[in-house]
Amino acid sequence: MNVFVDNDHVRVTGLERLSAGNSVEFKQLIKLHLTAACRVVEIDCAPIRFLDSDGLGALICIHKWVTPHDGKVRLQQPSELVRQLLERLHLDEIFELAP
Amino acid sequence: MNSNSTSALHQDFRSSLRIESPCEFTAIRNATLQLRDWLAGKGLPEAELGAWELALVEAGNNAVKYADAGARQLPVGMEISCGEREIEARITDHTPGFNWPREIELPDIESESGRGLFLIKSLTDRVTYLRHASQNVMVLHRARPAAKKESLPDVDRLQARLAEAEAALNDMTAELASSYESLVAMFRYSAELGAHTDVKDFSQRLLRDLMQIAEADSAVLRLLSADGKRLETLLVLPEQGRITLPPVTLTEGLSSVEVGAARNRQDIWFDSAEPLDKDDPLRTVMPVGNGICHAFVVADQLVGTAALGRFAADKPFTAAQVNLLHTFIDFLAIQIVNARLLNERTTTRVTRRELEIAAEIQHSLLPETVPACLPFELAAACQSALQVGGDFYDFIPAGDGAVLLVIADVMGKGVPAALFAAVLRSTIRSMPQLFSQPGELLGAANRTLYSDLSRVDMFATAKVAYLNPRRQEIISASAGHCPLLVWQSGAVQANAPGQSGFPLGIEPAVKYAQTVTPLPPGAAALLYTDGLSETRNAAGEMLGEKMLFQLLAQAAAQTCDAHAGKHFLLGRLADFCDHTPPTDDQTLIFIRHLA
Repeated sequence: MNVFVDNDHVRVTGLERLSAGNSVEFKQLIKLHLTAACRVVEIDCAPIRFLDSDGLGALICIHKWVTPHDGKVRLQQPSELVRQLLERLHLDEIFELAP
Repeated sequence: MNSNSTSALHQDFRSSLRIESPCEFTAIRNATLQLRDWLAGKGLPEAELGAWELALVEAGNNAVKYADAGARQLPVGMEISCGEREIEARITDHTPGFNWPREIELPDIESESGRGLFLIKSLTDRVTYLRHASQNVMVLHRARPAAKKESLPDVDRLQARLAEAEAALNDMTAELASSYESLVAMFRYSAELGAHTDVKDFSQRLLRDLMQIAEADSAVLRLLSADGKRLETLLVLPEQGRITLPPVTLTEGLSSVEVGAARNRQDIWFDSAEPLDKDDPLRTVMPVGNGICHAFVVADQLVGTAALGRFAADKPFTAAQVNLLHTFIDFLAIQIVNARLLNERTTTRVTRRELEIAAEIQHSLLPETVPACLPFELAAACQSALQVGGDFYDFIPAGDGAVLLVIADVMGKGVPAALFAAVLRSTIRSMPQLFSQPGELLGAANRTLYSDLSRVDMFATAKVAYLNPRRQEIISASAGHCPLLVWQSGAVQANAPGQSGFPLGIEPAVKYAQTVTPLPPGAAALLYTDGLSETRNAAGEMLGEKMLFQLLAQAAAQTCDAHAGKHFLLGRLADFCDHTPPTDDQTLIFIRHLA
């Protein structure tokens, strides 16, 4: 997994799994890159093969960090699996899903 | 200290797979992937595999999240069975458990948790959550979609499956055999319980059986001391080395896994990766290999610890063997507590019987009749405290109408005091030639009893008085006893004539002075034990000799005979005590000149 700052975006690529086993570390890693000028988190979801409720909890946590500063969490190219999971839990209402 | 470090995998011939996963997230994830792969081998489509993967992970993660430190030492069981029409999964956890909600709703959309059960429910057709005392089982059902016809498996694959099935069958047989052995042992122990077996012998046999069944090389059993501060060694097995383990203090022995297990009331594992501390006393018995220490409690009270060790570092105890340890030792704990309760009950019964015997002895020492000694009249009382003491009084006809009065208090309580009182009474009665010389009489009694009394560190106070009706006087001598109180008609208050010598049994040769006190017409006198003057009321105030003087004066002024005087005194004493039970025997002799 790679996390890097690109202009005013924090970009995440190569994330294959977001679950109870790595959700805490994932949140900490994102927090390290957030700044006042950098409040949009863009996650490439194409490689994600597994996402559980703890992984979703981490995404919601990041969402709560950035939205007070006009930021957002953008999930790019979510697989059918991820999209179905978000819809099942109505979380597609708070994340921006990008094709 | 760690938990069992490897997942145990069993595959049976009924198309099911069981995995015992260490209780942590990564292990649950790995176990789930194994289950998913196994389901993939059954021809399930990708969407089904994804649903099962997520449901199993959510259920397994719950088993980790809500496990306390003790439960995290135990594996999470994950089992999946694949039928033709339905797939069933069973997740066994050791958490406190919960009641499965009737309706599961999603939490607030910005909540970071609380979606696990919703996902499990929505990904399966039916969920049952079974709560038990030591573990809980979540059972998930989901219909199996119509499968494509499986292609015929090749011979190698079939042989591999057969080998796995045989291995699983062997494991199951071994587990079943150990369960059977433990059950047989339990029945045998239960049968022995009625035979009043010594706790140590019983524990030793139980621990030996446990070692054999659980394939342990060494064992240590410790019990909490009576003051609850230390773990004391009851057994060290095997015994060949005659190893003794000193007690470990719960507040200080921090390097000891036994203390750690006892303080936290949880199992502690040790092995070559996380060995015993170099200062841990258990190292003497279990220097290498691996082991487990279990703290056992009954009714939330710590009873002790049991440690099992194995010399082979690469062969940790299995979950089934740990269950055996729990079953055997928890059974033993109940027997230990029962034995203690039985012992306490027996001690209480013995003590109660001892007090009854002491009371019977004391009662038998008191004279049945009061001799006539006109113009004097005598009356006496002896009221026992809850704990029977060594008080007694005696009236012995002494010739020429005279009577020897004896009142004594043997130090101590119970049977020993009562027995010495009996001996003192007999000794005095055996010297009639000295009745008219109370000082000589006490000296002779002291010489006779000194060696016996001093050998057991006992002593007695006594007052002996020769009441002479012809001379209307009383000759008395005292061995450390309360004074004779005398009231004469017209006196403002009673006085206490005479001197007191050593109690009997303190010095081998003592000369006791004797005092002659006239008892003219109307006079009253009182002999008593300190239980009377030192009686206390509910406020803790002591009666004292001064007030006893005053009561004697009142009794003499307001009554005409000894019986009335005695009852007057006892009535005033009862008023003073106001139902406070006496802590010592109260004995008195009331003497009244009737003229």
